[in-house]
Amino acid sequence: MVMKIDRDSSRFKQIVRGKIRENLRKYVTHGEMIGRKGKDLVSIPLPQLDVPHFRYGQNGRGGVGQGEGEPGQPIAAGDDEGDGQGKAGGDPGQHVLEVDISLEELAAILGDELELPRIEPKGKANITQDKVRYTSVRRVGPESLRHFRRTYVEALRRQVSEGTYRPADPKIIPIKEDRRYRSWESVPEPVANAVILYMMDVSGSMTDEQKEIVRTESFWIDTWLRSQYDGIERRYIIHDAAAKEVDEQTFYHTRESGGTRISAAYKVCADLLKNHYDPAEWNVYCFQFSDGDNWGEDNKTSLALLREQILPKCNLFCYGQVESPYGSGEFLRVLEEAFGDEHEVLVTSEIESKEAIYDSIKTFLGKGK
Amino acid sequence: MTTKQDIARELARIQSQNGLGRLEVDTPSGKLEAQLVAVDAIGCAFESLTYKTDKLATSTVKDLKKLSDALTAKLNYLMEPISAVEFDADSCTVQCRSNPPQQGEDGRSYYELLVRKGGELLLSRYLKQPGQPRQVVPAQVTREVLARLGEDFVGAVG
Repeated sequence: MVMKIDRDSSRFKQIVRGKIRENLRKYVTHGEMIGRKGKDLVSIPLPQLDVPHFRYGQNGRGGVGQGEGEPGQPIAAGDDEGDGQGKAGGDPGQHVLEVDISLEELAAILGDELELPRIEPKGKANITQDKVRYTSVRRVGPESLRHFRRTYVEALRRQVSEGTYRPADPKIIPIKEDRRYRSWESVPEPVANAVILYMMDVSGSMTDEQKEIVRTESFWIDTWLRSQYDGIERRYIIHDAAAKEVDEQTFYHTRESGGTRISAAYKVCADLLKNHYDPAEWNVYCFQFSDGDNWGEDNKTSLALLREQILPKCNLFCYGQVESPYGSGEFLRVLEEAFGDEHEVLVTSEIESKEAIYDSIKTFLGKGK
Repeated sequence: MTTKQDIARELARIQSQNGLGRLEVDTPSGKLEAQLVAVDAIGCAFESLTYKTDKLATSTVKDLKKLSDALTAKLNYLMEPISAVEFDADSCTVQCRSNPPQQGEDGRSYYELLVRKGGELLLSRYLKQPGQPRQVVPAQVTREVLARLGEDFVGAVG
């Protein structure tokens, strides 16, 4: 039998999902809820949900009359003559309700709203392999795996039940039957079969605002791809004139002042692919973000690396050009001129502002590669 | 003659040629050049202002950074302040730009100053219109400002 509270809860979830769906573009654009609830949950503010509440009257002003009264005397407040100062506000109040939603649900909503096709894995997709996990306890086993606490507890329990336990002299002597041993179980675990390589230009011309755009877009891309694969690996590369692999934290919070040489990032990317990710077994996704302000003579080297060493190994290579305050990025045009429609794994997108993130994600992931 | 007087003389020459021409002034340490597209009694418009000098032939990025810092501190009379944006060790170049760029109705415009080993100082003005690649636009300055720019370029290199 379904309890009323369950029905209410279910209906509430439907309303919340509906609201998220309605406002998804706004949530995608603004990255403030990202990372607020750890790895598996995000917290989304829903100002549109108004929680019922009491509204108090005006204490001590008017109300129930006492005594005879005079003709024409008001019996309630609000009869003052003349126009008052100011008008009622036209904006919604500040009732912000935050709801927690799992990344899986969020990915599903994102996929539905953006009409993203399911990704078709290649190679040995969904490979699983047995991993040993020490999750159980047995009565037999090697001494090296003896579980001391469990053994002690068993011995204590036995001595108490036999009446041989003396609180004044609490000696616990385990016998053979008391001994307990850690034991393992084989758990099939998915083997990572997809890798995302993020590359970001952190040169002097990339501002904090541009990096925030990259962070927000990467979060949604990550959310979607993680919903499509059981295991996924992520690698991060930053570059100015030189490039290096870094952790996620460094990726989003580094600013350098060097010049922009995209070929440096491509070189690191190509090396990673060559040494770690056989394209026959791995689904490879590359996402590169830059303001496109590459130092002119570097374009030729970059294009050669991309054409010969990266694109042939990728399911998808996405280049997002985030517009700099100077709008001087030319690399997008260089890519389009060099490749045109030649490479269907290459997708480009111009991200002029935060508002363009939504459409950019659709451009990148709309191919279902 | 001083650099300022040389520039004034060249401006007078180019004005007499319908305001179009190449300004060239030799200095003790190099050569000052400007591609002018308009000159009148008060002001002028140039597409590029270059100072070429051998004094930067063996400079390091650190030297160029120091030079660009000194120069951008002097160039406080342009429409926007200029500051260093990127340093490229490979090509030994410092890139300075207006910070922030000027936002106009037709797009964003800004100065770009490149300080290169070799050596060269190059000042140009760019306009970036929405949906278009950036393009060089003439920088409009008074005659006095152009002369001062020339003097500061020469003075910064020493």
